[in-house]
Formats: sequence, C-alpha cells, structure tokens
Amino acid sequence: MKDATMKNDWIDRYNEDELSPEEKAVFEKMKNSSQVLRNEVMVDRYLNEFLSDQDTLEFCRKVKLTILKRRNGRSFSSFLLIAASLLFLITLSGILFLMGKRNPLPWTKEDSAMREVERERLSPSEDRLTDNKLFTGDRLPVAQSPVKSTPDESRSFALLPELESLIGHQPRSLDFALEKPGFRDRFRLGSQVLFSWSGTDSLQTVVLSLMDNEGNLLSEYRVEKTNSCVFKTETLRRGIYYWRITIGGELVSLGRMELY
Amino acid sequence: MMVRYSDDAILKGLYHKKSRYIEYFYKEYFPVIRSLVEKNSGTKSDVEDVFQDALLVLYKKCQNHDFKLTCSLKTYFYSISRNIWFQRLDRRWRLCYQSDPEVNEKFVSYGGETVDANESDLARQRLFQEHFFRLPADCQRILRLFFSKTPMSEIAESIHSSSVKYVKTRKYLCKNMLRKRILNDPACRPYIYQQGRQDNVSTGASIHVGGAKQPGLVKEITLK
Repeated sequence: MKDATMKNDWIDRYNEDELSPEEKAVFEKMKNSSQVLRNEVMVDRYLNEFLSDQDTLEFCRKVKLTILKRRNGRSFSSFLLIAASLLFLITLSGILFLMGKRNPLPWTKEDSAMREVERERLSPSEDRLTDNKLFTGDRLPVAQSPVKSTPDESRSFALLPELESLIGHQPRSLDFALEKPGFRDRFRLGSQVLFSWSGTDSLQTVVLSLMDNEGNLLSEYRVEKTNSCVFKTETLRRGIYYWRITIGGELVSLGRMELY
Repeated sequence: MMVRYSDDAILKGLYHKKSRYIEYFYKEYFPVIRSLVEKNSGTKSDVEDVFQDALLVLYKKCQNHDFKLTCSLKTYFYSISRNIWFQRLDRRWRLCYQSDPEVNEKFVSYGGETVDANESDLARQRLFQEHFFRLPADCQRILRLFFSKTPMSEIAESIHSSSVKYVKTRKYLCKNMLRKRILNDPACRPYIYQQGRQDNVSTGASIHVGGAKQPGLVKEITLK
C-alpha cells in the first residue's frame, strides 16, 4: 500500500522532474522492472502534454459541445416528429370514430325495413343513391357504391325476412296501383324490367329504389311526369333484389325480383 | 437567411475558437464527412470522431501563421478527414474506399504531404479529452488552472480554500483519477502497447503478447 502511494506520487514527480537523484535512480529501477509502471509513466507524460495545451483543450470542448448540441437537436426534432404523427393519428381516429357514431350504417340484418322507410319518410332529404344507372329517370344525389357489395353467389339468393313481410304492401290512402312487374317475378340477368303504374297524377314524384338481399340500398331514381320506367339489370349480379316505390316519402309498394 | 462566411473568415473564426464559426463549420462540412465515412464502412460514431479529429488538425494548422490554403477549405478539410479515416481503416484492416463525387479529388492527396495528421495521436488525444470532460467539475477546474501556470494560492482562492496544501493534494488526486480512468479504458491499450514496445527497445526488456514471450522489438501488436 505504502509502495503504491509512493509510486503514484513519484510518477507525478518523476515526470515533472522533481525527484532527487537517489529517488530518480530507485524509480527508474522500478520502472524498468514493471510494465504497468512504465505504462503509467507514459500515460502521465501524455497527460501532462495534453493538459498543458489549454487552448486546444478549450477548442475541443467547444467542438464537442457543438456536436452534442447538434446530435441532441436532431434527436429532439425526431422526437417532435414522432409526437406530432401520433397526435395526428389519435385526432384522426377520434374524428373517424365520432363520424361513425353520427352516421351509423343504415341497413343491417337486425334493422327492419320499416325503420328505413320511416327514416326516409321523416327526412327525405337524406336519401342516398348510387352512381350506377339502373333506372331510366333522374338520379337523386347520393354517395354509396352498393353493387360491389353484393355477396357471393350462394348468399345472394337468400331471402330477407324483414322485407319479405312487406311485399305487396299498399296504403289505402293512395289510389296507386302497380301494373308491372309482379311482386315476386324472376328475370334473366341482363334483361330490362318495365315498371308501370297508375293512380298518380303528373305532379307527384315517384321514387324507385333497389336494395340487395341484405337490405343495402343500391340505387334510387326519381320519376316525374310519367307512369313508367325501365330498369336495367346488366350491371347487377345474379341473386335476390328488392325494389321499393315511394311517393312523397311514403312507401306505396315493395316487391322482390330474382335475377337468374 | 443563413450567413455565408468565406474560407478566410472561417479559419480566422476557428483560430479564435469562436463558437459561431465552429457551429457554421459543423453545418457546412459535417455532411461531407458523414458521406465520406459512411460510404466507406464507417458508423455514426466514426463520423463524429473523424470530424472532431480533422477539425483539431485544422485548428492546429490555423495556429501556424505560415499556413496558407492552396485549394478550397472544403477540399482541404475533406483531405484531412480522408487521411484520418484511411489510417483508421488501415488500422482496422478493412480498407475499402469510394471517392465522393462532390469533392475535386485532384487536390486531395493521401500520404501525409498535404496533411500531417497522425490518426493514432488524434485518437489518443480524443480519449484523453473524453475522460477529462467526465471528471468532476472542480477537478477539471483545478487541473486547468494548474496547467495554465496559475499560482497555487490563486487556485486555492478560486476554489474557496485557504490551504495551498489542499489544492496540491486535490490536484494530485484528480490527476491520479484521470490517469487511472484512462488506463482502465480498453480503448487505451493500443497506445500503451505501442509505447511499451519502444520502452523495451530502449531498455532491452521483453513483453508478453498472447502468451508468447517475444524478446526485444515486437513486430506488430494490434488489439483492435
């Protein structure tokens, strides 16, 4: 322990040339016999050189600070970028969630057809239509692409009980009488289906709607100043479809057609 | 709007150790060095080391009043950095160089004529710096004051101590701490063994490497 203390002290003094000739001789003898001591002496000598050049040390400190500042600056910018992205995603998902709550999907298997009819009767301005030209007549403004949502072949022939119960429905308050088609007719895919009726005057607007067998609204068209319109089936797939006729928001007729 | 400095202004700024110029230099030249080092199998840490070492070489050049640029500062700095990086790669035995198309290579020479930078000395100096800047603040202060030839009584005053003896003891302890930390750092080994080799030549002693006793001059010892 004493030797170690002496040695450490002597390293300093040896390099600063403060040892007496006797001490120096002893120290050099020790140094020659010990690699570890030689290393310490050498590092101490380098340290003295290094610490004596205060200008360089100060310059290096400033360079080091600049590098650290830049590195941390970059890390902070990356952190900000990630935080901003997360915030944006959270906000976006929140908005989408709220929008989903405000506009729930109108037709599900659980919803009854009457609920949809009632909704449309109360707020006809919210009618939704598709872009595909199924009917001849004025297309109502809507946004939905339902034809693509037609289920696969086996499922597309299933009947929808909610709408089945309404087939043939006709209100007593109106003199509306459907002439064509029948309430449960079958048609070849691609053929044209003629809809004609009587009992309406020229001022009344008739709205024809088409739904798939899951109750999804596929298309709606407004027919004015005429008692007939042609329905094109070429853009549809095989399966069960339901059509609906409303006047002034009130359901006047509903039927099923099978495309084979 | 970013201010642009001429090469002479930058050199003058570096000479006076002005932080503004050091930061400007970093902004302008660091990407070039990053490209050089990363294209040649270097890591991010290598880029910073090479940049720091090259800047130190440039700073020392600025201290010499006879120093005059014969090409653009960018090319000169690139040349220093490339020289350092070459030596480092050489030391690591994985030299694979790709030139940077942005720099006019005909002004760049490798071999020490344009730039007398010894990578090993620079690496050692950086190692010392790292350990020095990790010392407690009062230790750094005492060592700085001591090596800038400040009288012991003034050092004692500046650290609010009335005893010169305390300052001497403290200085000894701080330096000892620094030396031990450096010696215990594995990165220090190459420099120690290099020097050990020279000592052996002078003393005629021998050292053990990898279990084999090699007398006199040891051919090559590289631990990294």
